[in-house]
Amino acid sequence: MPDLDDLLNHASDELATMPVPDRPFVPRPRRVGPALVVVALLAGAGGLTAVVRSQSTSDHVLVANTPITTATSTVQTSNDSAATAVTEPPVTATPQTSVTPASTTPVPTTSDPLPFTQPQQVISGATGGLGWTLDVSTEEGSIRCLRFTAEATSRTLCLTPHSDELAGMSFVVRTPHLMAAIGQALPSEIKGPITEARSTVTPVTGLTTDGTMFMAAVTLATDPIVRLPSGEECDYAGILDAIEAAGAAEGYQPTHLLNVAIDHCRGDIAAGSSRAAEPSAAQTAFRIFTRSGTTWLASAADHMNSCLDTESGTPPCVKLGYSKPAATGTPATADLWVALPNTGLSERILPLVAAMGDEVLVVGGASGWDRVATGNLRDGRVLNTTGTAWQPIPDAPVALTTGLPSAWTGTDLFLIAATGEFLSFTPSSKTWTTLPRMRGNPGIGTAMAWIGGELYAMDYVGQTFTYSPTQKTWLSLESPTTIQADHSALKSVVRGSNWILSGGSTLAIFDTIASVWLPVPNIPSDSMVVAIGQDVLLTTVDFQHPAPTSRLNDANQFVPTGDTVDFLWGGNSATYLWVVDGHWVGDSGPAMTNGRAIQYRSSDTWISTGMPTTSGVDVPVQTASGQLITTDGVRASRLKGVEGPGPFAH
Amino acid sequence: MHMAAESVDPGGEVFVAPVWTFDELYRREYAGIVRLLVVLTGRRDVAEELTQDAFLVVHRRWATVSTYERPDAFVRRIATNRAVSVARRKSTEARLMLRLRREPVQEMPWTTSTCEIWDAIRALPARQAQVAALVLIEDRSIQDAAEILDCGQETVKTHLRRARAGLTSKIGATSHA
Repeated sequence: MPDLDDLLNHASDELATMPVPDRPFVPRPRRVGPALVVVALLAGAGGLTAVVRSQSTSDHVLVANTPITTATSTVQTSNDSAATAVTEPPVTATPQTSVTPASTTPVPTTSDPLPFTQPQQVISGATGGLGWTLDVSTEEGSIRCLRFTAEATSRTLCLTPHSDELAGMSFVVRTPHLMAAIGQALPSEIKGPITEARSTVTPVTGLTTDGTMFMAAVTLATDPIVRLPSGEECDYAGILDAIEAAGAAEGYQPTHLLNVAIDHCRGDIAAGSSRAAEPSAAQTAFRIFTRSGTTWLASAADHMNSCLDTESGTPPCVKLGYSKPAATGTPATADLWVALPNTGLSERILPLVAAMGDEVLVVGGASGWDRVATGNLRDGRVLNTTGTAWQPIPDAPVALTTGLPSAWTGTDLFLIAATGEFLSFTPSSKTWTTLPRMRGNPGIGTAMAWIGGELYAMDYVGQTFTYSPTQKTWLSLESPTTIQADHSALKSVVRGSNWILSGGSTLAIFDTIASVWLPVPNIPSDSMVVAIGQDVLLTTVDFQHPAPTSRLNDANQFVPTGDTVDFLWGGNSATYLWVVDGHWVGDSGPAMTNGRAIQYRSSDTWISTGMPTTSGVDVPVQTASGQLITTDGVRASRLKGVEGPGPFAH
Repeated sequence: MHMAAESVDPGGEVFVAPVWTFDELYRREYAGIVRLLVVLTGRRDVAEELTQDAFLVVHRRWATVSTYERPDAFVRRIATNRAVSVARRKSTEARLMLRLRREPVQEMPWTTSTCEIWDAIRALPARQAQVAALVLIEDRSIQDAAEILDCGQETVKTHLRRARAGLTSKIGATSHA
């Protein structure tokens, strides 16, 4: 049995030799994107939406000063008497030595009616290439003011106290390039300068499914709704159960829950520490996005440190709040979805949906969130070519779920289950066939393509195989040297007889006719390759600085496009999403965010729609004839389709 | 090059505190913090990003932070807090719901035993992971770790004791400490 200290010493030595490339510190973004910032004050019950837009790069924030319970609330701009907008110098301090010069444009200062001498919460992030902070001041249990600081501009937003009739209120900030580190409340990290951090209102930030950021204030219940069992680890499942129970009381079903993000469920101040007597600045925020557009918010601020340290003997408690429906959503731009017949399947989560020519397969999924990793359901349906009826099919041999590698041959759908089984489904005979298992590491993360009558597959560590349907055998192929091992986010694109795989900052191109891996262009170490639709894009994925993008042409060279691709993680799909000139796209073609389908096609067309009847976030599939179909396993919709010019100039 | 400022601490001894400039702080601490966060996050890209974020926070408040006795401890506190926050969120999301989707991980040339150590540290409760990374990997003193984490030394010792027990259990090793 190895000695722990020996292992630690060895690990420390290895870590010390790890090269860390120099990276300059850039305190300000190099490029400021178009400043389209929308601050929308959304009222819940009345579905009221107040939206202010600005196109000026210096006018990042507009102001709404509106009682949010007023049914006919109006929107005020910064010049309106009912609004309060204060422009003042940035609150950020100039460093003694600036590595990169920051913008020093002076901004006129006016009086601040509610100076932020004691901000209650400070939340920071970056949107649209701008770093920003929100200082939140509270007064009498309501968010009173926000100070939005970006670049050299600082604006103060002041609001009237909201009514008790609403459990929460939200601010939606939209930018063309949204790449924020959302939900990074920083009170624990800046508690030095902040001496007051007590409030009954907990601001919570989140990333909505439609690409907007929200900040919500939740007036919490006086008494804890949920008490968690003590223990070293937070009982996340218990929290979720409690939230689900509270949601059920309001009429929501567990399957409506879309995502739960739990931020730093940890005690920043452990019992027994020298600062235990101080107010805990640690705020734990739970954000639960629902399919109905409601965001459930919960907070555990009082005793959450007990999650990590039970010495205090005080069990942690969770207090729940929620925002009203529509508090985080954006009004649908158009009703472009046509309801299809229901599938007839039971309620489920994340089924596998795949296009098979002009037919659509929906199968499997999970009956609960604890089963979504592999799915636990096997029944399915096939939508006929006319889109008028779902036909039952035999149960799949194994449970299936969304996101599995699949390839359509024209007659059969090959797919690999999360547990590694290799299957085919033949729609003409409605039969499932279990085939020889692929070697290597089959499962989610495997890239698969059907090229020239052969199936090609690469597992997440780069092992490559080909499957011959006639021989029913897998053969190993030489693995490419240009793609790094353990790149599980492999995406593949087929161009003619070439199979192009991208993952991280690596690229590999396989000529299936010559059966050789082709030379690939050099890719800078700070760049990433991503396949979007049929395009392979090279971009510098820099949190702060979106850079121009290049696209792989038919000569396998990257050609600059002049556009940018931003990157973010999170959102409701818990997968990487890409932002191309302000539009979210999936990493492999059609994507949906909060029911808004956004697609980038190689033909340079975009689709952006309203809400489908499913109101889901399931990845839509595209049939051979171009129909975009989405289903959550029970309900289904078809997109009528509206196309416009794409962002890339050829 | 540091300037030095002299002051007299309550004990009467002369305390020489370095006067940092931001770029000095950045140049001196960047690589070390990235390595520390690699341990806590498992990914170099995330580690670099979080390190940049931490410095961005410090930069914005440099007028205040520069007056601190230990700006280096402060930036490490921010960085490690962020690291465990991201790690916790990601692991929680993965465990609770949604899709089992492996995320791109930059290849690291770690040996198997080192990988096991990193995995075991990241599997620890957040505070224990921070203490383990600082004390067991970075070889910092209890006092230093307490200063960085802004907590008491006894608390650090408690977390360290639990972290060692957790690591021993997780990787099936013996411990003589």
